[in-house]
Amino acid sequence: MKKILLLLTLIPTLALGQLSSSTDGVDIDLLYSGTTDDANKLLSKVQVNDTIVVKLKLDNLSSTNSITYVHVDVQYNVNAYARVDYSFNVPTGAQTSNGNWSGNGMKWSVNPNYDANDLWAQWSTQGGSYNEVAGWEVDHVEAIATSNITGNYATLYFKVKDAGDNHSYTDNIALTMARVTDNSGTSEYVYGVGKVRGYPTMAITHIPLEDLDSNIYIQADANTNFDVTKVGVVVQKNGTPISNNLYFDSGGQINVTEYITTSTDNYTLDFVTSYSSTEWEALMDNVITISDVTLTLQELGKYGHGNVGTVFTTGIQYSAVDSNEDRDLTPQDAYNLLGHVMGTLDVIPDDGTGIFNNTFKPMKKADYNSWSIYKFKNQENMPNSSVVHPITVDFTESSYTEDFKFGFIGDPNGSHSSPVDGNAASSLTAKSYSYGQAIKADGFIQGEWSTAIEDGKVVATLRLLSTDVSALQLKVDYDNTILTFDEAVFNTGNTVTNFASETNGRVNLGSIEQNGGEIETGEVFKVYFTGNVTSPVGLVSIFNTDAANVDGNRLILNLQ
Amino acid sequence: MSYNFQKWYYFWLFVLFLACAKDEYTDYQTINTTVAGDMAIADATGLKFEGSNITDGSKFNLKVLEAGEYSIEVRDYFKNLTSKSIINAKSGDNVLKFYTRALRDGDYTITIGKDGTELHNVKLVIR
Repeated sequence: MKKILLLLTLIPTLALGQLSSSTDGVDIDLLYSGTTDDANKLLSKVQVNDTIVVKLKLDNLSSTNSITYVHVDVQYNVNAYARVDYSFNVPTGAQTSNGNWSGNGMKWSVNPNYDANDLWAQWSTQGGSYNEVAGWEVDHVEAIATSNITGNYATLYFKVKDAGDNHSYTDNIALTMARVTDNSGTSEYVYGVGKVRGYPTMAITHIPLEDLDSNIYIQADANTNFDVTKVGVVVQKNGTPISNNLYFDSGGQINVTEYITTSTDNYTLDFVTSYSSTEWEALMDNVITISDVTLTLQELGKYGHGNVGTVFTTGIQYSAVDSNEDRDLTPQDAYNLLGHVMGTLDVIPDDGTGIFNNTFKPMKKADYNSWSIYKFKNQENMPNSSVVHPITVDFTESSYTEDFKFGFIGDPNGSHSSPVDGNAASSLTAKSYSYGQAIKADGFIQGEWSTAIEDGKVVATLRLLSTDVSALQLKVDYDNTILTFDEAVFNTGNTVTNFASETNGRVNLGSIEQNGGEIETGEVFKVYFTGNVTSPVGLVSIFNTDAANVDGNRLILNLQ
Repeated sequence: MSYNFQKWYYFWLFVLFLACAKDEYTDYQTINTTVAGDMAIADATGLKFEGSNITDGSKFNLKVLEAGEYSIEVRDYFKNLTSKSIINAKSGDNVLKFYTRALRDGDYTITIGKDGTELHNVKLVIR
């Protein structure tokens, strides 16, 4: 309310009360110049107990006269400010003084017949006066020199105070009157009425922020496969954005100190990305892959390779593949994930807010590390994993950090999700799970890849050289302005399920063996394109690859 | 000039214009004798690209002594294989087009090999 009233007060001031320059006399600027701790601190960020620096700056616009005497009155409210120090910057030998004769307090009443910023008129023409008003004091900042006094001739230091909720901070530091003369000639020249102006600023209005000196950071513990600098936050105050997009630095940190400035308002972090929707979709193509499917099938006993129900160790993994969010992981969830990888089903929900909001799962670190399978299965409330997170800062600490970890929908093998630390996620489980998420690959497998022209067609071939592979996926990009995708031919074995689909210049193909066997070696994939070309160079490229072994764990396909 | 004269005059002028226009080649030119202009390689073997960067459809010349299958590998900054093509080269100059629309912009290493032996290795920006 106070701010609204202040705004209503300022609007007519801004619209009608623009100060005017003396044009050819002396302008005196009441110049806010930061704080003693931070010369660049914006006035809007000044807190209680900061000491602000206010300069009195002379701008002599006269082409004929210099300044050898200046006396400026600076009035301030003692409930809002304590003038703690002052200094002068004047020619050598100059006499300076800063007197204060406010007594029980005094405040200037403006002579309405002259502009308030016509400082010599306010002094010399009568009509205005200082009246005894408690809570106000006036400094008389005076300098006398034998040579020209220019620029920032005096500096005042005010400690900022909390004057209470009902206090009006309008013009709590202000110039009231001034006298400027030139005694360098044979007779004194007094800068006349209209020639000594408070300009461009003659008053300071600021409601100080709370004395909150905590440095506030957002820290992300992200997977090394995920570029953390591509996500960030917008700080919201009471539901209104108050910052631009603030992206994590390469160390996974954002400093939000300047945005969280009160202990009484509600702040939230709205996670954002600098990726376009298309780029985020491409990222998700790397996140949800065949090894996520095999791990899930293994967990649910549908992979045909034994060790049922022992591969997931954290609630994060369960939540990542609970595509219908019914807290009951069934083979259908695994098949849904398989359908997604095959391109026949989309497990990514669409609530109309975009793919980022529907796939990115930021969670406070402690919640992430302790979200267990036991909690998942026993219907405990899942911690907030939406892209909007309230933040409550402990201002008693000099430094406060809110730690986050990032999960992704459909990423049970943690290829891009943050690792789960500690044993909290497993210690609360009903079963004696080992802790730690299986994010690392079990090993490498070898393959050969090539594109050539065969019988007038462009043919891309994958030759698998390694054994013990039970799932394989490959996404290839091709120049669809020149080539047309014809078909994918598989030679993976009689019991292997193969899939291939094409979307916008990308072919997604893969194979999964769910019957306990392996994918055969040799030329397992051949992708045929037609196009009127005689050079195949660069027409087809590998977007990503993925593979899994019989345990459902990820293998890295090393292509030559 | 009569109308008939003008008609034939402009017809032959147009024919002359077409005759003087530069011929369009296909994307694969095998020039066994010499390659004129910037794509020429003076040595007996070599690899030469049209520009300092590879852009879509830009040309390169692979000059070899022995005809046969040659591999052209494109590896990204992390040395991951991004693309690999097999071409049937003839002895001498082989000027081919390099397509880039299926590749992401970036720094790449282009390696030419034959029968497992690396013949050329260059680092270039693909745009």
